[in-house]
Amino acid sequence: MEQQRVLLVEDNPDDEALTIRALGKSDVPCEIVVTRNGVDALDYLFARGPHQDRDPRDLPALVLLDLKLPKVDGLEVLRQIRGDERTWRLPVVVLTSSLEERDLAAAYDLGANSYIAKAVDFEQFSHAVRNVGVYWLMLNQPPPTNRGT
Amino acid sequence: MSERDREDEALRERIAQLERRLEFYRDAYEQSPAMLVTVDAKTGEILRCNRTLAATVGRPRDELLGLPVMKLYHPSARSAARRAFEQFASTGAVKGARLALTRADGTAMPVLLDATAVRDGDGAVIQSRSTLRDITELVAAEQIPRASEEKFRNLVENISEVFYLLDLDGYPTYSSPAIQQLLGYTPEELRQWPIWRHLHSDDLEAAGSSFERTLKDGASAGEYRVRTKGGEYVWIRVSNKVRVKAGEPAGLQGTMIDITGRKAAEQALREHQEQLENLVRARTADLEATNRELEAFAYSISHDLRAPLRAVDGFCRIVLEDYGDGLDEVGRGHLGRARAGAQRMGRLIDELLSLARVSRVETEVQDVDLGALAAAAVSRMRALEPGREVTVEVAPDLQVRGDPTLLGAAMDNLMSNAWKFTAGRDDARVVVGRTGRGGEGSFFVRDNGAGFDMAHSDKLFEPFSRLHDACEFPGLGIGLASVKRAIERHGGSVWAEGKVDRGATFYFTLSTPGDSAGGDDHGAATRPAG
Repeated sequence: MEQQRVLLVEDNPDDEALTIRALGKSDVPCEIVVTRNGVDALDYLFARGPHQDRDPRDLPALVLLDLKLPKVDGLEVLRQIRGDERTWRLPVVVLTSSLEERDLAAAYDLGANSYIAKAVDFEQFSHAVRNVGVYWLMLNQPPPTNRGT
Repeated sequence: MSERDREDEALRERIAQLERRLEFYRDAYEQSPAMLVTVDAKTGEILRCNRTLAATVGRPRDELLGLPVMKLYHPSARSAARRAFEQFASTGAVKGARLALTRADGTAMPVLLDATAVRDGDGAVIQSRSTLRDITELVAAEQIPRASEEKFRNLVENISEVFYLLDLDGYPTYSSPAIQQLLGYTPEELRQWPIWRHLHSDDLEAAGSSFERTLKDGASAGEYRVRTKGGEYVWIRVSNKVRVKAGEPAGLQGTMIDITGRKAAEQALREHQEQLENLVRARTADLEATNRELEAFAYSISHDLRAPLRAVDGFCRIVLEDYGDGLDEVGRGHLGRARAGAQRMGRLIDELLSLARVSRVETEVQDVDLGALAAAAVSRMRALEPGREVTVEVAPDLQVRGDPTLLGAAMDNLMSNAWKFTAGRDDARVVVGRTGRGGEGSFFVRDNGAGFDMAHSDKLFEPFSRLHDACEFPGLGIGLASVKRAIERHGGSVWAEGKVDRGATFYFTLSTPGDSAGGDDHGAATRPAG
C-alpha cells in the first residue's frame, strides 16, 4: 500500500519533532511533509514558488495545521484552502496550543474538519496525534476529488 | 305819637333787632362745633376765640386771650404750624392745613386749619380769622388703609425680590428700590426706557413672546439675562401677572430675583458632571484597553508557554523511551521529576487561564438547576475514581438564575473539593442544599472531610493559597478562587465554615427565579439541609 502523505504546518521545531515522532509510532505508515509558515504551506498546496514543479493535483491526505504561524497565520491558510476549489474538500485538522474560544469558533467557521488542542503532557499529546492519524488516514473515507491518482 | 317818637321807636326796634342778630351770631360763634380763633397778624397773639376751642384745650378763655397762638399747637405739629403761618403771611390765606392741637390731657388732636385775612382800610392784614376742625375720626379712618399700605410698601421695598409694574409698552412705571442692587439703575432711571433695552439679545424673543402671552393668558414666568448699568449681565427669574383696568389689560405686574448665583452653580454642576462623564469614559476606555491587553496576554500565555513545557515533557519522555536502558533508577527518577514539573506548570497555566476566563467571559443569565450541575459533577468524579464510596445527597428544586457555564464550573470545583477532602473517610458524605441563612437564595455544599482551621478561612478563596499539604490533598489552589469569582460575578457572595477533621461547608448566595421576576413564589421551597 502506497504511503499516505500528511502536510504538517508547524513553526516550532520541538512540536515538529514531537508530532513526527508521535505519528511515526502510530500503526499508520505515512510520509510527512513539513512547512514552517503559512506562505510555504499555501505554496506547497497550490504548487507555487519553491514548489512550482509539484503536481498541484497531488494533494496530501491530511493537513495538520497550527494556528500561530509566521507570515500568514493558520486561520488565513485555512481560509485560502477552503476558498479554492482544488483544495476545498481537503481534510484539515487544526493542531494548536490555543484553547481560546474565538480560535475554536473561527476555525470551525472557516471549515476545519477537526480541532485538537496540544497537551503539555507528551503522552496525552502523542495519544491525540496517533488517534488523528488513525482516524483520518485509516478510518475516514477521503473526499472524491482527493483520491490519489 | 310825634315824628321823633316814631323815629326813636324805629331806632330802638332796629337796635333790638341788631342785638338779637348779634346774640344769634354770638351763639353761633360760641357753640360752633368748629374751633374759631382770631389772631393778631403782627404779634401772633389770640384776640378772640370761641368756647369750643377753650373747651378743647382745657383752659379758661381769659387765659387764652393774649396767648401766642403757637402755644396751642402740639409739639409734633409746630413746624407744620410755622409753615402754615408763613403761607398765611405771604398769601393771606391757609386752606386745609393739617395741624394738631394739644388737648387738656396733653395728647394731640388732629385738626384742619382754614384761615382768612382781616384787612384794614389800606388793605394791610391786621388779623387772621381761623377755623380749626377736629379731624380725629378722619385721620383714624385714614390710618387704616395707610397702615396696610405702609406694611405692603415696607414689604415690597425691603425684600431682595424686585417688584415692578410694566405698562403695555414695557416701561417700568414702578420698580421697588431693590432694583438698584440688581441692575444698578434707580427706579427713576429705569422708567425712562422700556425693559427690553436691558435684555440680552438672545433672550429678547423669549421675553417678548412671554410678555404677549401674559397679557393674553394672565401669568407667566421666565429666566433671562439682563445687562446692568455697569454693563455686566446677570441672570434673573421673573414671574408676571397681567394688570387689568376696566376690563382691559393695562400692563404687567411682576417680581424679579437675581439667579446669577444659581445659574453659575448649575453651570458648575453641569461642567462637573461633564467632567465626571469624561473621566468615566476615559477610565472605561483605559479599562477596556487593559482588558484587551490582558486578553492578548492570556492568549499568548496559552500558546507560547505551553509549547516549551511540551518540549520539556516530550523530550524527557523520549530520552526515557529511547535511552532509558542506559540510565540507572536515579537518572530515570530525575527525568520523571522534570516531566512532573512541566506537567504541573501546564496545569497551572490552564487553571490561570480558566480563572481569567471566569472574570472575562460574557455571562448569559437563565434558569439553572444547581442540583443537576452537582449531580453531573459527581458522575464525572465517580467515573474518574470508581473505587471511591461517597454518599451524595442533593436537595430537590435548587433553581437559581445565572450563567450555566460559570455556575457549572463553580459547582464542579465545589463538588470536586468536597470529593477530594473526604478521601480517606469510610463514611464520606457530601450534601448539597439550601439554607435559610443569608436570605432565600442561600445554598451550600457540605462535606465531612478534612475541614480546615477557621483561623485561616480568609486564605481559602485566594488563588494559589492552600491550607493542606500538596502530598496529602493534591491541588493547585485555584478552584475556590474561581468559585468566588463566579459567584461574585453573579452579584452573590461566598463564605465557608469548617473545623479541622470535622468537615467543611461552603455557602453561597445566588438570585433565584422568584427574586428577579417577582412572579412565582419560591419562598416555600426552602428545605431542611439534608
